[in-house]
Parts: sequence; C-alpha cells; structure tokens
Amino acid sequence: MELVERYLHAVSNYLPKAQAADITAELKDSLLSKIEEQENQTGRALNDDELRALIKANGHPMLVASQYLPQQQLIGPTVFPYWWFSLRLVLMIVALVHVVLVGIAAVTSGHPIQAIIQGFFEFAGTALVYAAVLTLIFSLLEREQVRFCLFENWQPEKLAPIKDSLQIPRCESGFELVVGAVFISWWLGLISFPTPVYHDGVAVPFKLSDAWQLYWWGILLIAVMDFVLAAANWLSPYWKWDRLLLRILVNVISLGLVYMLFQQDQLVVLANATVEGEPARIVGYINQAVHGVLVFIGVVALIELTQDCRRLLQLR
Amino acid sequence: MEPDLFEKLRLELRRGSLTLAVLVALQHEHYGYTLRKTLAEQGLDIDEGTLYPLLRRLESQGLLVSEWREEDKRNKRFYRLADDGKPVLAQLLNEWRALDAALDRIHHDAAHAVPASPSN
Repeated sequence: MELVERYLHAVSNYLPKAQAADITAELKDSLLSKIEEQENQTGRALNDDELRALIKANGHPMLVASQYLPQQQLIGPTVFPYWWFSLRLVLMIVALVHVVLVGIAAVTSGHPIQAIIQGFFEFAGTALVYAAVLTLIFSLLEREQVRFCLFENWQPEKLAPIKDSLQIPRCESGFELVVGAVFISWWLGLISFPTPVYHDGVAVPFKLSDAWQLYWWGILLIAVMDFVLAAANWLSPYWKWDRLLLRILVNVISLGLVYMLFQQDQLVVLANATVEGEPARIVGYINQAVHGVLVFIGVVALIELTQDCRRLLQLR
Repeated sequence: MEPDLFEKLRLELRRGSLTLAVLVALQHEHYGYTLRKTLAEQGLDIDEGTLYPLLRRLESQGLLVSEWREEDKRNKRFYRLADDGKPVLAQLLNEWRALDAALDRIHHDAAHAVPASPSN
C-alpha cells in the first residue's frame, strides 16, 4: 500500500492546503474500495503490476487534483469573446504603430531590409508582451467572476449595413479619375506646380533627379492603365475578373517600380546646382519624404493586391 | 466529420444529466464508491475524477450534506441530499421531464413530417 500513499501524497501536492487532507482521505477510501473489490473478484491480494495498473487508471496526480480546483480554465467561455476582441484590437494597434515606425526607419536609416527585419522582431516581442498582459488581466477577471456589460447595451438598428465587396463606390473612381488626370498632365509636363518648400521666405527650387528617367515610360504606362481602370469602374461600378486582373497587374508593376526607385538615394535634387547650405539640407529631407511616399504606395499596392485576390476568389 | 465528434457531443449531453442523476441517487445516503457503483448498475458510468469533484461542488452549493463515519473499519464520507436540495431536485426533475417530452414531440413531428417538394 506504499504506492497508494505515494500516489495520494503526489495528488495532495497539487491541491490547496486547506482541502488537501480531506480530498486525499476520500480518494484513499475510493482506491482502497476498488482494491478490495478486485481482490474479492480474484480471491487473492493484488500483485505489484495489478496495483500499478489500478493506480494508473485513476489518472495522473496533477489531473486528478486539477478537477478539484475551482478554476478549470484560464479564460472561460463567458470572458473569452471580450478577451479575443481586445486582443485583436490591441495587436492591430501595435501592428499599425510598428508599420509606421518601420516605414520611417526604412526611409531614414538607409538600410531598409535591416530596418524591416528588426521591426518585425520588435513587433513580435511587443505583441507577445501585450498579449500576455491582456491575458493576465482577463484571467484575473475570470477568476473574480467579473460580469461584463460592454456588449449588453447595443442597438440592432446601429448595425453596419451589409457591404458588397465587389461594389465600387463611384466617389472612389471619380477621385481616382481626377488624381490620375492631374498626375498624367504633370508627368507629361502639361501643367506644373510651384515649389511648396520655402526657406527664410525664399523658395527652395528642386526637381526630380535623373533616376526617374529610366522608369519614365513605366510610370506613365501605370498611370494611364490606372486612369482607364478608374474610368471603367466609374461607368460600371462593379468588380469583374478582367478589371481585377488588370489592377493586380498594375499593382505588381507598381511594386516593382517602387522597389527599384527606393534603391536610389537621390530622387529629388536642387534645380539650381549652385545653391548650397541650408536648401541642400532641406532637399535631403524632401528625399526622405519621397522615400516615405514610396513605402506608403508600396503598402497600399500590397493591400489592394490582397483585396483583389480575395475578390477574384469570390468571383470564381 | 471530426473523428471525436460523437464523443464530444455525448460528453456535452451527459454533463447536465450526471448532476441530476447524482442528486436523485443521493435521496438515499451513499459514500462515493457505492454511489458510483449504484449509478453504474443503473447504466450510468461515471469516473471518480468527475464524481468526487461534482459531489464537493454540489455540497458547496448547499444541495448536499456530508459526514465522515467509520464503516468496515474505514473512514468514509457519506453524502445525502440536503433539505435545501430537495425543492431544487424537484424543479430539475420537472425541467428534465419537460425537455424529454419536448424532444419526443420534436422527434415525432420530424419523423412524420411530409418532405418539402423540391420545386417549392
């Protein structure tokens, strides 16, 4: 019976001190009753193997003890939806903050790949800490049986209308048409804008560097394709597979162009090469801003690519 | 279909009925081991890992009372339905019978319903 005592001792190690003696006394009686019953059936005392099998069938000490503990789960079914909602919200905010920070670091550090990798690991670490803290808070709420009323005072009439993801808002296509027309006109040199940057009340003259020359036709092609697509979407505001494929193509080419342009250090130069000092430094900042805009365009292209692939699957 | 689906559904179905069965059986005094045997003989197997914590929970909720007594030269903990548990048991039994009757009616109606025509 030494094995029985050892088993009961192991179970008691996982139980609250105040209840351990009472629970193990009852378990002991249960085990001894089972042993007696088996011995009565066989007409002899149990051998070591039989005793081991009987004790093993009773369950691992930790599992047996856990069934007596009041809290069987870290976060139960009542608290779970609140925890899950909060976790997704917090992780989304953390991700957005990191995307912005990584974007800035990628532009300013001069080592974009390193900045992205470093940013990813920083995000993973931060997300893990936030998830752990949130889980700890909700597990305490579960433990204290806190009642939530966050989702009780909702109004059905305020539910969002069902959105057809294949429907294209005309205002969106209209905006794209206007922006596209202005961009193409500017790109072709049909219109120009005054410099928006001033230093000490004097305009800082800058222009696009020669780096753009290599991609001039490519950018024009993309802009025209985008314009045609916006016009088609405005006339028939519903995604179809051919237009989706065209936009996917536009975005893939855009990503390629963004990547190649991002490699260039000088995207903007002073229009007057003789100007030195502060304006030259300002043009450096403008270069960083243009790199930032390229990152933004890349992110938008990636988001659109994801959305369009989903829409294609929906149309299949 | 999930391989363990039936087992999961069976456990869900049994969870509430075990509590009721224990309360019904403890209208007569039992200690854990004989209670388990009694339930098993009536066709309701329940393992100790479920039974003993359930007994403690029901006792902490005031539905059962227990006392330690010596029997066959061993200390045993005897349980029986508490006075406060009797009206609760009556209510639960009514609920159980109502559920059973409703399920029978639903099953009967479904079994005898005329299948809808595909053109409808």
